[in-house]
Amino acid sequence: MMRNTVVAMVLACAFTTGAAAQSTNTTLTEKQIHGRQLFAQSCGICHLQASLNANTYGPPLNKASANANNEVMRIFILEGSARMPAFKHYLKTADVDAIIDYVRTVPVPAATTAAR
Amino acid sequence: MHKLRTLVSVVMVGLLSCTQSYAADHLLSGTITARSGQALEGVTVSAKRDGSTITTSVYTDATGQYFLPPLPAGKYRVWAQALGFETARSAVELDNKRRQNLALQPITDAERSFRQLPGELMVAALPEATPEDAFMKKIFMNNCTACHTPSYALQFRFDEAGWNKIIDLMKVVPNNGVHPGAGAKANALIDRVQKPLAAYLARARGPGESSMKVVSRARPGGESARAVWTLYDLPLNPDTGIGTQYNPNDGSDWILGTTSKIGQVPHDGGLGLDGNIYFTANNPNRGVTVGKVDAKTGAVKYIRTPNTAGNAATAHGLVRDNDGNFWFDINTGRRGLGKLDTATDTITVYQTPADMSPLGGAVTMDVDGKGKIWASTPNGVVRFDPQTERFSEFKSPASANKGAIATYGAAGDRDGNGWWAQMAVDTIGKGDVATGKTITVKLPALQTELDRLSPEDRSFYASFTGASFNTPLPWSQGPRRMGTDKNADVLWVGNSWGNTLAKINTRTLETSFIQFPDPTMQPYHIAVDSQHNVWGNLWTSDRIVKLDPATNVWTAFDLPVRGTEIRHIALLERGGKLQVVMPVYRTNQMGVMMVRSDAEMKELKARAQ
Repeated sequence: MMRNTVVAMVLACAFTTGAAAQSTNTTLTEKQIHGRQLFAQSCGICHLQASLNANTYGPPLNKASANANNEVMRIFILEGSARMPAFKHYLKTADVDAIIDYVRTVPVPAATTAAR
Repeated sequence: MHKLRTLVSVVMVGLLSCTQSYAADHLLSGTITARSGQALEGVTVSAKRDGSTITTSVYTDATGQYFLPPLPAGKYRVWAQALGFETARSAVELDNKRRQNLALQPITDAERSFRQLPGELMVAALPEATPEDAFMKKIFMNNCTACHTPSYALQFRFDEAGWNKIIDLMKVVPNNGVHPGAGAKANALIDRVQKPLAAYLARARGPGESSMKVVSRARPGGESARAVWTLYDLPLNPDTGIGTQYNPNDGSDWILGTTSKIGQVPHDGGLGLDGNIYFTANNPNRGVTVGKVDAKTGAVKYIRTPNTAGNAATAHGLVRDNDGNFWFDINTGRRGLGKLDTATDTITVYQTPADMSPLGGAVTMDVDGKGKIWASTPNGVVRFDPQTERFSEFKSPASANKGAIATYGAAGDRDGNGWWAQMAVDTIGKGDVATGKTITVKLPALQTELDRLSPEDRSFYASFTGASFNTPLPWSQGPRRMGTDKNADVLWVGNSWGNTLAKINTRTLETSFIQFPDPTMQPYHIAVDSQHNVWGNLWTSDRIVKLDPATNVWTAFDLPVRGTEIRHIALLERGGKLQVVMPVYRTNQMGVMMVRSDAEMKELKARAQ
């Protein structure tokens, strides 16, 4: 019988920093918090990282998305795209406003040089 | 001679949700009424202390009164919920015994009312009057809810083109939820029915008048209303998803609907003899293999063993042995058997010999009546003797379709034999320890589903070779996770697609079936208590159930949160009390339920007056 012993060391920060998750700040308004909840629930399946080191189906969204144009983003949400369903039958105007308001709080990742 | 590796694990991080411990000796009670003043029975009442991660929930009795168990002093948020009513909220400074009454206002917006429904009521509302609709409903229940609870999908409203786009994605995404990239192969079962399925869903949840007919149900009463739920919030995986510490929708406000599961952590759970709650983390992450929740404070500790990539080894399945150790499937690079010593928080990993299968499939664990550990492998089951540290193996009969024969549940009976479920081929295996041989029990197909199929459908399914856990055939029983009665010769099998429990005599193999009381109930895991009661969590429902096999009486216990998607259930019986523990998977919580006796309620009421 062979027995190998490995002592594993874990850094205290190992599970407390989100390198790849949606970056958020902690000073959101009530509207942005509502938008964040809606975004995670309704948009996250395509626009958030589903698993460690996985690519997303749709582009990650941030303050530069949709050419930083809120009306363009609103049309995307309401009418969809070739791969995205129209959310106009589900989300109310206030919901869409809240989602956009939240997305505009998400910083552009350092490696991203252009809006997606 | 097998190779044994010990990885001394580590307890770290911890206290992410550190909360100060207080003596739990303050009583909170009250009465819940409708706007008319009528007292309401079976209303869910929850309380959460500011800064705490622990939510305690109870139900009102026949007089509309609720009685929370003794709680630590502090400032609490209190809220009451019932289907068809807006959430009523209040805040209470609990420094002695206190009464807090709430009045519920009816919901006037039909869509708000719909979104607060649990998944089982949404599914029940789907149309099935015509053969075509009944087939689409079956497809939805088998092939759409294979990966997520139905309330997640059905909360949305899309037009037919929108549902088509959803199906375009869903039919290529495997059960890890990650899009495999361009050229991904479509699930043939969904691909074939995409057009009528999208149309069916658009009629149900589209822009026009809905084809769904929602029928509400009675609120909890009797034994169900004496339940106390304690839910512990867990931190989300910070490396995926939205990046908040806790779930932005933890299910506690039903009107918010069913949350996303991206970033969730716990898969299987158990209660330790030390009183703490343990869970395994199956989704890839950097921090936790097994988590430990302090039942009094809610503080969460991570116990981590690294995998070969430097991340946390993932874990699946969990069972407690008689000494208080937990056993689980651990993937450090090759899936092995993990043992957690709860006294030292040390993980030891035992690998099967190279000529034996590693652990695998949807690993489920059990301890048999002789103290041996049983675990699923991709093609059968292994037994581990904790004394000699040796494995033995039983294999399923060979098949050309290795994916289809993969093992889901595993269990050990009181005689020391092992059992495993081949979910996609409706077969139960028995590892007979005395002879070393494998015996199989084939579960019969669902005849009503076979009868419903057209010749064209039958021809298609007969030629389909890709059946798996998540791509079942319409007539599949879907034996998933099982439980043995350690005080009888009975194996109970939860048949997810068949809506049945199979009861198998572990000695004679005599098999009978018990239909669940509601056709929307899809059992996932089964646990049996010392009184022979059969406990099961329901994949598609925000409820768990108990069957008393002596009387064939079912009791359902409603969870206090929405979007639960529970995959595991475990029991701890001590001092005459039974605690039922489960990971509330989608909302990223651990849940513990206890049922108070009539005598305990009487005493509590007297103290609260």
